[in-house]
Amino acid sequence: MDDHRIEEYLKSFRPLSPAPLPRPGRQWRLVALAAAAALVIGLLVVPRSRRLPSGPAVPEPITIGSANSLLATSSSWKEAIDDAGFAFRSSREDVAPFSRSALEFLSQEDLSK
Amino acid sequence: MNRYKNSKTRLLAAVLTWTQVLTAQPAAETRLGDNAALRYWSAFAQMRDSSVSPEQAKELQAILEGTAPYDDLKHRELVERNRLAVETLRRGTELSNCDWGLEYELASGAPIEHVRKALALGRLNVLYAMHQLQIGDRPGGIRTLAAGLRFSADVASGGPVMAAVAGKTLLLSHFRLVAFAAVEQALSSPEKASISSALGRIGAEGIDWQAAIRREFEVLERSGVSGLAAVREHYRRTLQNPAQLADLEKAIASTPKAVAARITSPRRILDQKRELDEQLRAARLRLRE
Repeated sequence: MDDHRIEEYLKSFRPLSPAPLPRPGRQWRLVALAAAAALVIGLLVVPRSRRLPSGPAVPEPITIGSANSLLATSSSWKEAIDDAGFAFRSSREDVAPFSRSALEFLSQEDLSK
Repeated sequence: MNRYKNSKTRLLAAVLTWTQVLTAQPAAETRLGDNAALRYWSAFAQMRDSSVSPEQAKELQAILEGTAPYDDLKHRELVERNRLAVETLRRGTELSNCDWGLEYELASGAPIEHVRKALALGRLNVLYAMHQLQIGDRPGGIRTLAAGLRFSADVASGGPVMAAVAGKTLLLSHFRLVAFAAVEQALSSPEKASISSALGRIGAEGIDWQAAIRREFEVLERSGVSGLAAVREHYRRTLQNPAQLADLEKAIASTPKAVAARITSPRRILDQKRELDEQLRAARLRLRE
C-alpha cells in the first residue's frame, strides 16, 4: 500500500462525539439505593442479640404502691400480673437470638401473650 | 423495812430480766435460722434462664393450663437447668416460718420484688414435678408437688394484695398439676394422702385475704391517710359475708376520691377468693376419689 492510500484510509476515520457526562442527581440516587439495600441486608443478617443491650436489663422496681396502681388500672388482675412492668425480666445472657426468655414467659399470668 | 422491800423488788426484777434474756435468746436464734423466705431467695438466685421458641412457648402454655400433656423430650433441658433452684425451694418449704421481711415502714414504697420472681420459680416447680412423674420418679414428683403448694401459700405470707394474688395464681397452677397427676398417673392412696396432707398445711382457704387487706390499710395509714377505721372494719366483715359488698362499696365511695382510688376493689378480692375456694374444693375432692 502506498503512502497516498494510507493517508486516504486514515482520513476516512471520523471522531465520535463523546457520551454525555452522568448527571450528578442520578449518581446520588444510586448511592442512596445502595446504602438502603446494605442497611436492609444488615438488619436481616446481624443477629438480634447484637442489637439488644448486652448488659442485664434493669427492670423497674416493684413496690406495694406500683403493684396497687397496676391492680387499680388494669382491666383484670390477670392483666396486672402480666403487665410489662411486673413480669420477670431476664438478663438475656442465656437467651438465643429470636427466642423468648423462658423465665420471663413463666412469670406471666396470661401465658398466651 | 422499806429498804429491805426495795432490794427484794430489785432482786426480783433482775431475776425476771435474766430469765427473759435466757429464754428469749434461743427463740431468736431459731427464728432466724428457720426462715423459708431466705431459702426461697437462694432458689431465685439459682434460677437459670434458657430460650423458648414461639412454638415451645405455646406448648408450655398448654401444659401449664392443663390442656396438653407434658413432653419430657422437649422440655427436659429447661427443667434440668433449674433442678438446684427447685430443690432449694423444696428445702425452704420444710421450714414452718416464712418471713419476707417486707419494709412496711416505707408504706407504698416497700419493695415486693420476691413476687415477680416467685411466679417464675413456682411454674418451674410445676414443670419439674411433671418431669419427675414422667421419668418414673413418682415419690420425687409428689414431693415437688407438695412443696409447690406450700411455696405458693408462702409467697402470699405477710404480703400485700399483689402477693396474695400471685400466691393464688401459683396455687391454681399446682391444682392443675394435681388433676394431671390424678388422671395421668393414677395416684395411689398413700400418694393422695401425701398431697392431701400438703393441702391441709396451707389452711382452709389457702390464702389469708383478710391479712392481705389488713396490710393494705396499714400501708394507707402509714402514707398519712386517716379516718378509715370504719371502712376497714366493714371490709373485714364483707370478706366474711360477701352479702355486705354493696354497702362496703358505698362506704368506700363516700371517702375522698383520692383515697377511694387507693382502696383495693373488694369486688375483685371476692372474685379471687371465690375462684380459689372453688378450685381448692375441687382439688380436695379429686384426692378423695
